[in-house]
This record gives sequence, structure tokens and C-alpha cells, in this order.
Amino acid sequence: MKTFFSLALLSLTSMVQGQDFIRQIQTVNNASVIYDMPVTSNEGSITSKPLTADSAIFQLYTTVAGTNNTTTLKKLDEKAVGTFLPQVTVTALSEDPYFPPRTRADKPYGMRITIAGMSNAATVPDYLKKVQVARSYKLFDPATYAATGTAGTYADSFMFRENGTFTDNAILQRLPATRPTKAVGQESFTVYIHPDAGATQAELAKATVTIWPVAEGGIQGIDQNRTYNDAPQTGSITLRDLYPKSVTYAQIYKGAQAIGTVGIPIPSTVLSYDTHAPQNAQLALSNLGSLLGEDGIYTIEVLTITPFNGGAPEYLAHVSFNLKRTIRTNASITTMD
Amino acid sequence: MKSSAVILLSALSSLALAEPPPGGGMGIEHLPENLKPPVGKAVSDKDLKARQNGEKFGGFAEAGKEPKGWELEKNSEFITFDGVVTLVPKGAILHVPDRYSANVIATMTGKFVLWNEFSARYRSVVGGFEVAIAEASGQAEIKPERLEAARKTGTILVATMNQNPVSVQKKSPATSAATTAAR
Repeated sequence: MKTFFSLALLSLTSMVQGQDFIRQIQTVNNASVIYDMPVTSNEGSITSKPLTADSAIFQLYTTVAGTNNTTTLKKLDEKAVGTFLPQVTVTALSEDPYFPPRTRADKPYGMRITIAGMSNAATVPDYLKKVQVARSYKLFDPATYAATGTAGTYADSFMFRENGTFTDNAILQRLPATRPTKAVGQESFTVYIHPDAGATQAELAKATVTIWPVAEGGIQGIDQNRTYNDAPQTGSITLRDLYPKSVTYAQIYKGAQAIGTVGIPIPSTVLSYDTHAPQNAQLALSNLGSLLGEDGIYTIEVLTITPFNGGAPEYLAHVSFNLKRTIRTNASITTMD
Repeated sequence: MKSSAVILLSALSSLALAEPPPGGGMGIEHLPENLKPPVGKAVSDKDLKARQNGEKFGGFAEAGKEPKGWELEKNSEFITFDGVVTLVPKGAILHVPDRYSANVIATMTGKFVLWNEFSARYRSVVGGFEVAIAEASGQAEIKPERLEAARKTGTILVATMNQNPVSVQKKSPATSAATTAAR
């Protein structure tokens, strides 16, 4: 069956810039024809070349400036369309509702794959009756959170031969990292099909989830179990890899550390982020004196609230110290006449 | 086919990155009204490793085992001049005069510009040669006299449709199943 590819309008977003183009690959009478179309504006539409074919692959490329006046080309998306190709969507699922999807290195994420229109008719070639799902990764720099260029594919791949919706809600990231809680990068699930009898596969759909590291924190300037004769003045907290959407704060309460205690938040330490990448910070533990009551043991805890755990804070650090402001002296006064 | 176009449209629309909503800042007012009790520490590296090890995982694919798609570099040719480089589909270059043989390269080096800008800027180096879809797919041969006349311009000839570069099958698919565009 021939299909007339007329005016396939490609919606282009503000992501697209000057030197970008769409590559259209079609098989016409068993011959592959590759056609490049420039993208000349940030928005609007592109008219693909009307071709006669059963299917077509569209790839969207952009340019990325490098050093020494060089440029590299990056594929932003790929989509295969055609008369007998199934309609496939892949959706990444996370407790964090942010888009584009993201999660934390220790939190499972999900993938939902929906396949429709895959034909089992005898007239349809076998290569159009199955799709392959492959899982891949990209690594980010742990300091800058930018892509390092290191990427790979996991060995596990899955073949689907039926229409339906398939969901896995408990996928743990497997990014190659020395410390798994500090893994940072992306994992993608890509659905491929052989659009023709050739060996080359085309992407039908793809979903990517960004993995951010688990936050860490430390308290400096206040020593564990030390006795202070006044409120500690030099305390500070160091925070690393705070989740992009998080509220981090320190709290203080009287007594030794007791898990689950809700103390008094220390106002100078409340730090909120709602952004796209992890954050680092250093804050002073100031004005503790106004939060202290009677002498005794006090505990300071550094906590962070993220989209996970139903909004309950998690511990990043804690310290307990002894406050003993009353000075008792044993003395006697005598007079001699 | 309308549905295919809709799928394509919606897929590319999803590229729009969400702008980070405002809301960050410092101060007690950023705390939730009802603070919940802390739940404990995040999982340790040791425990997370143990959880990962408890799941079925096939490891990492060996190089070359990943799905093979239409890679850009393998399916492209590059023309460079004066430190500027452009890209055309593999098979689009129909003729290269001897004096420009070093200007056709296999990997991208230099400042990249799209074909339409490159061909407008270096008219004495490259020229477009309009072909029909039948010629691009190898169903019809490009008339030799037409090609010969174009060769006399002394420029690198690039096959185009609507002035955009397009690959051309050198042989009819009826006589050769092999495609010139490498996969």
C-alpha cells in the first residue's frame, strides 16, 4: 500500500534554534532516500517533502557550540510514522510530578509503554509485528550536573508482540557510579521497530528520566557532646546535592536525638528551591540563643523535604551538645578583725 | 496518514522544556504549615547496592550490541571550505572536481552551517542539482547529458529537492538491492 506523505507538519518549539534541521528518511521502492530540511525559525511549521512511501523516519537535530569555534550536532528527537507502524507511547513515571520526568538515585521510577495498532494480518510483514524496547543511560558531571558525553546501553532488552499497556513501577536506576546514592544522569527507554526489511531500526517512542543524587549535609562548628556555657555562636551547615525541588532547614529541640521529633525550626536555615538541577549551600546557625530554654542537652538536626516520602522530612545531619550557662562557685568569705 | 502526522506533531511538541516555576527562597515562610515528623535518613550506598543486586539485571551491553539506528555521521557527508563545514545526506554528492577533492570529508570539523547558507556563501565551490524523487530513489537514471552540463560548472554538485540536499541511489534497486546510503 502506498501512502502519500503530504505536508506532514512538524510543530517546532522554542528549543529549536538557528542551525537546526530535520532529517527525513524514507524507503521508496526498497531504496532509502534521505532528505534534510532546515529549520529557520523558533516556531512555526516545516513542510516535509511529499514522498510516496509506506513509512518515514523524522529526526530533529540541533547544534551545540563547542570549544575552538567548533560545533557538534545533537539529535533531539526521532519519530517513525507509517501506515503499518504501531502507535507507541512511552511515559516515565515518578513520585516527583515535575516535567521533564526526574527522580532521585534511591527512588524507583516507572515506565508505561502503550502499543496500539500493531497488526497481525498475514499481509503485514513480520518485521512490523514486533517492537523492541531498549534501556540506555547518559552520565552527568557530579559537580556541574551537565552531561559528560559518557553514554551506553544496558544489555536487557524486551520484545513486545502485542498491543496493550505495559507498566513497570519499580525500576531502580543502574547508572554506573561508585556510590549508587550519588549516581547522576539519565535513563531512557526507547521503543524501536524495523520499518523495513533492513537491519536498521527506527525509534517509535522514547521516554527519559533524569536521576539526581541523594542530598548530603554536615554541621560544622558545634562539637558532638561538648558542653557550652552559652549558645554556640560559630555553627554552620554545609549542604550538597539538595534535590531541585526541596525545602531544607535545621531544627532544634531539648534532649538527646529522638527519631521523629518535631523541633523548633531555626529561621536562618530555611532554604527552599524549585529549580531544574540540584543545589549546594552553606548556611550559618545564627541566633541559637533565642531558641534555647533551660540548660541541658540540645539537639540540632538538618532536614530536607522533597517530593518523596509524602512530604515528610529526611535527616541530613545532626549534633547534640550540652548547654550549661549557670556557673556555680563554692567559696567562703571570712573577715579578720 | 493523518494520524501519523498527529503523532509526529505531538511527539515533537513534547520537547518543550518546562520552565522552572518560581518559588525558591530563604526564610521561615518557605516551611510547610504543618511540618511532618522526620522519617529517617535516606538509604545508604550499601543498602541501595543491596536492593539493586536483588533485582534481575543483565548488565551493560557490549559495544556494538546496542540497537542500530540511522546515525547521523554514518549517513552523512561533509563539505568544508574556509573553516566552515556543512552536512549533506550520504549519496547526495554527485560530482567532486579534482581541485575540491580534499573539501569532501567524512567527519565534521569546523564551524557548522546548514546547506542553504553554505551553498549561498560558497557559490563557486558548491552547487545544487535538482532531482526528482524517481531519480533520488534510483527508479529513474539522471540524464547523463544534464549531469555532464552541470559538471562543467566546476563546482561540487549536490543533489537537491526544493533546494534541500537529498541522497541519490546510484543504481536502480531492481538491479541491486544494496543501497548506497550506509546504515
